[in-house]
Amino acid sequence: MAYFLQQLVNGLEVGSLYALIALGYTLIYGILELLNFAHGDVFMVGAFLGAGVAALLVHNEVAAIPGGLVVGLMLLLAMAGAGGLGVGIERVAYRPLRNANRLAPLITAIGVSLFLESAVQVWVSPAPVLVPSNALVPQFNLGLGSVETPLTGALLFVIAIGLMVVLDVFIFRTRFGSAMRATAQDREAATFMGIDVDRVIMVTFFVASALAGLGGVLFGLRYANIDFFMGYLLGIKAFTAAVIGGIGNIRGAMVGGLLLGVFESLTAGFISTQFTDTFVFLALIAVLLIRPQGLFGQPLTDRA
Amino acid sequence: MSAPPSTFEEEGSHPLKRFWELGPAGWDRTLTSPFVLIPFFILAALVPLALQFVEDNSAWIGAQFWTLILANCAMFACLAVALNLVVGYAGLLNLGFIAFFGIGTYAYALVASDQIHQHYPLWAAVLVVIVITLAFALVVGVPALRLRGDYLAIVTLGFGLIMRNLIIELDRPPVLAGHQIGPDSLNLTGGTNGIHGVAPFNLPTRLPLLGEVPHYRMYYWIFVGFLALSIYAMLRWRHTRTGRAWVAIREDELAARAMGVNTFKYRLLAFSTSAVMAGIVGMIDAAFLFNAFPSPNFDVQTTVMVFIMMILGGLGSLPGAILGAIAFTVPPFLLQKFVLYKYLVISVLLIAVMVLRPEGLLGTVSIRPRRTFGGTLELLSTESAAEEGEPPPVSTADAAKIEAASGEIVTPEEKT
Amino acid sequence: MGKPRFLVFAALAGVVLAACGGTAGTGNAANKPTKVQIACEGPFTGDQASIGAGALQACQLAVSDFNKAGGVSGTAVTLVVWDDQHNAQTAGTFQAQGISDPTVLGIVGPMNSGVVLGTIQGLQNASPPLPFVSESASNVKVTDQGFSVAHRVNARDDAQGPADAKFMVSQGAKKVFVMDAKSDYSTGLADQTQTALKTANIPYVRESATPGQKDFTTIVSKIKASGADWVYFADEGPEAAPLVTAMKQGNLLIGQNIQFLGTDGEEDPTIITNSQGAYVGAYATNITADPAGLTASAAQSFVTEFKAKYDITKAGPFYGSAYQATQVLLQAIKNSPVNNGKISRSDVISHLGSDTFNTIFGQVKFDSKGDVQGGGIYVYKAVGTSMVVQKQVS
Repeated sequence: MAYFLQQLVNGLEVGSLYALIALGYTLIYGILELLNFAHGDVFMVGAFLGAGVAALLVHNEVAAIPGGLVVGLMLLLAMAGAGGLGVGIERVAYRPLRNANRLAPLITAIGVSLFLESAVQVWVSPAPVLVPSNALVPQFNLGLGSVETPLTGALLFVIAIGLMVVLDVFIFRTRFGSAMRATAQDREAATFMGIDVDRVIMVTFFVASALAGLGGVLFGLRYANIDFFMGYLLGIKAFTAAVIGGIGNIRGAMVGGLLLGVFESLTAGFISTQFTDTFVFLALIAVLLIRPQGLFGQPLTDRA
Repeated sequence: MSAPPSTFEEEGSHPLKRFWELGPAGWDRTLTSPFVLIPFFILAALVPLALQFVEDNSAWIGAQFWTLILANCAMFACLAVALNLVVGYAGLLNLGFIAFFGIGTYAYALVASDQIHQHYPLWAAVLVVIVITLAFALVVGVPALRLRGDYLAIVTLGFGLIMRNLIIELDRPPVLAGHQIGPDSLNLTGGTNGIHGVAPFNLPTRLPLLGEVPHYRMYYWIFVGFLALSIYAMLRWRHTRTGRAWVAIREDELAARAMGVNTFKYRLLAFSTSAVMAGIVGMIDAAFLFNAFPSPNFDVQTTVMVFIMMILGGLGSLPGAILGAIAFTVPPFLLQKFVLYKYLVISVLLIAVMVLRPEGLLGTVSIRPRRTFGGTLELLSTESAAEEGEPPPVSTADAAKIEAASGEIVTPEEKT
Repeated sequence: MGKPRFLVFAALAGVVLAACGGTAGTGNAANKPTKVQIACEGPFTGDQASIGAGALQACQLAVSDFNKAGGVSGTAVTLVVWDDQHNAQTAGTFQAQGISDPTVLGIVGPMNSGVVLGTIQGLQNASPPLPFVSESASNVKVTDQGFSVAHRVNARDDAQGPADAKFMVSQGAKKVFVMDAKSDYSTGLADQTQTALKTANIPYVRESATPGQKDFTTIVSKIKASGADWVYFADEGPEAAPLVTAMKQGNLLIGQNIQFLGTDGEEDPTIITNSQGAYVGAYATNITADPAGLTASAAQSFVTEFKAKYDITKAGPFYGSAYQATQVLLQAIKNSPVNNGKISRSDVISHLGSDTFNTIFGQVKFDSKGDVQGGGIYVYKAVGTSMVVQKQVS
């Protein structure tokens, strides 16, 4: 039983990471109906930005900078950097194709993803990079009995839930949120209503990418090692989570992420680590067959 | 090497200038006419003999190397043509495309090696490959093609990852929840090492007039032959009911459906035909290399490579696919410096081509502006679904104005 | 499969010997070869670039050292670079260049067993056959098929696997948690170790990591639940640091309540850094020649030379063996007779089979199958910030 609970906690932890990235996928998809393949790689770049800040401040022991401050700076810079990157990607690769065939932005998205991966591989490091988490965050476990998780793991979970709530409020309770909703519903009509659609899309990309950047830093602090390729599979799984939850739905992304994390952890824990990915994608296909709109999605028009 | 591409430009008596003025659609039409394609394929078939002749009569060495590079080009061209069918003709984003190539490779390797001690005659092996790739295509396609386009992309991507996972792990009996399935000796795929000792096709090694034909030259001809066959089929197909249905679906699905086109049926046809074509190319490749090897067969990066080959030339353009295959297969063999930056260059090109010239160099698929439509941020509204429609072809810049003025009927309420 | 750490023990003497090695060669100034080429093949880009890049650099260094020392009777050796990207098809195409060019006398590589197995027939069928000396292909089939072209300086899976199992048993292992990382190298090795454990009647559990995996919490929970007292991880290196970090977070402390044995790529102090010390106390096995015969100062100068040109922290696990493999091939070429300005590949193959070579890891000689004779497997332990050699286990 303790083993089951421990695997459940492990699943929730990695699930919150999926959820954090899935939120970004769902936001962008919600507004633009664009599957932003590069989102996982924005997450990776965020992690590297955080690691860069940490490397500068931790190794450069001019003065002992408190760990909390360094983490704060890492989060701030990584979120700003990733957010900026997201806006840049939208400007260069998606905006010119906004009215083009659906296929075109999907293909550029793959191009952007490949570009970010190879750029980090060639210009930063082909090998894993250390995030000195021991020097930055207290290393102790929280837990009940034998079921436990490190502080950073618990943080990941709390921050993911918190951000979902904030995002929910932002979209439903603010003026800008209603502009976003209007854009999502009908971009043209939104334009007629005086909404600056370009700005809405820009902000959406900024928010989604900043979330990914935040996820990257938290990932670095939690697992201490990052590499250029990590955004790829994680991004695909996060997108899977968003689809399972119902793409375009913020709570769905959250629930989908946690569910996927738990599912993955339990299959690895009880069935086999050899075939984990196979089970994850079979689950995706099964969900899409039974409920194509996802768990929380509205029934969509089936274009088939 | 320069022979194949140059034939494109030098063919026919037209001055190059007049050819240039035809524009992309005209180029594509000219290049796919039998007067260009037949001489092109004859020349392509003669290239290895010419290379051999040069090698025999000069100090230059490299007939085999260059023939192999050209065989690689021809193989990728076959794949690009097959991908063109599913993406360019039918507008389906199949990101697990290369997995079908891999399935063909392994299906053939299993029935033509000692892996499971099966040695089928060629005709039976071909049948097995077709049946197996078709079965996989249907298993993925039937559910996935009922979904919206983007879901197809993610499902096929997931399919590719599943296949990769299975190929690498099925070199020993799977252990699920502590129970081993199958005997200890079970080794289906050879795992990360792949399957070796695959028998090549049982073909004569001597041909009349040509004498001894080396293995690599024979397989170059097989690839070129299959390429010619695929292109012929595609060109014929373009003007049949099926071909027109595909174009109709790609250009405006709603309209196609309204006209009574069974979109699901035609999509499935395109999806599975393309998969079987890729499977056959995989089979030829396994016989060519004497092995089935996991690394390139299931990588998304390889799929992306084939995508860029197809896109550079132009969606829907067959000569474009050949051009793209040559442009991306040859440089890595020659420029070692280029290799490190290969994916950087490819990705930048991919984005640039898509943004600046979405039709590709010889594209025939106009990526025309469409009516803008909303997303599906559902918490906000129940009228979330939107359909894709197509206004008359207008320039992107003017699209918004014209659409605003035209006051189209929008159907946001449509649901199933 | 020589390792950076090992180079600490390696000697410049080895380098010098390599340079002047093979004085028995019949080549002389009057009859020097007009052109000598060797190829360096491996995955220098792509999914396996982390093991290939350093090997290529070492190979380039070895060729330039050899040429500085006079080359083959005064003819400088040209290095051709074949980046097979861990792809048998690409490899076969590049090799065609060598197969039809008689001045290409041998290959350093291919590095991946799968690529070797996919292309070996073509190399053997060439006339004359094109020999290769691999620095990292460890699958038993590479040399067991009886091809005369096959040589390797690294240990075979069926030497290292049983040695690893024997070591764990000798240390009192009661239950072993065996892991691979789904790569050519690690799956074969883990299979061999698993078989040896089975023979020794030691219970084991087998699990897999994914290349690039960072989140090992699920696996750590499994290790705990399995009750294993040893973790054995056959890996090229990158997955070890996150694994041992997660073990520490899960209160599995290496050297205290659990033991850890890694392989080749994990005999790497970078893992101590990247795991922020969690790796200290772990063992790793690696194959090397006997370090006793080499002087430390000379080894330092080799490492210094490499460091001056390249980033040694990114050299990967096989750069030492790549240097060694290049030395071996070049000496075999140098020992081969020159006729009318030409060296025949058949002679290179026979010299590879018969000669003894002086390398940075001491003297090596191939057995009849092409496996290196007298290679030993050594156990290292992570102590402080470095990997310290413990003993030879076979």
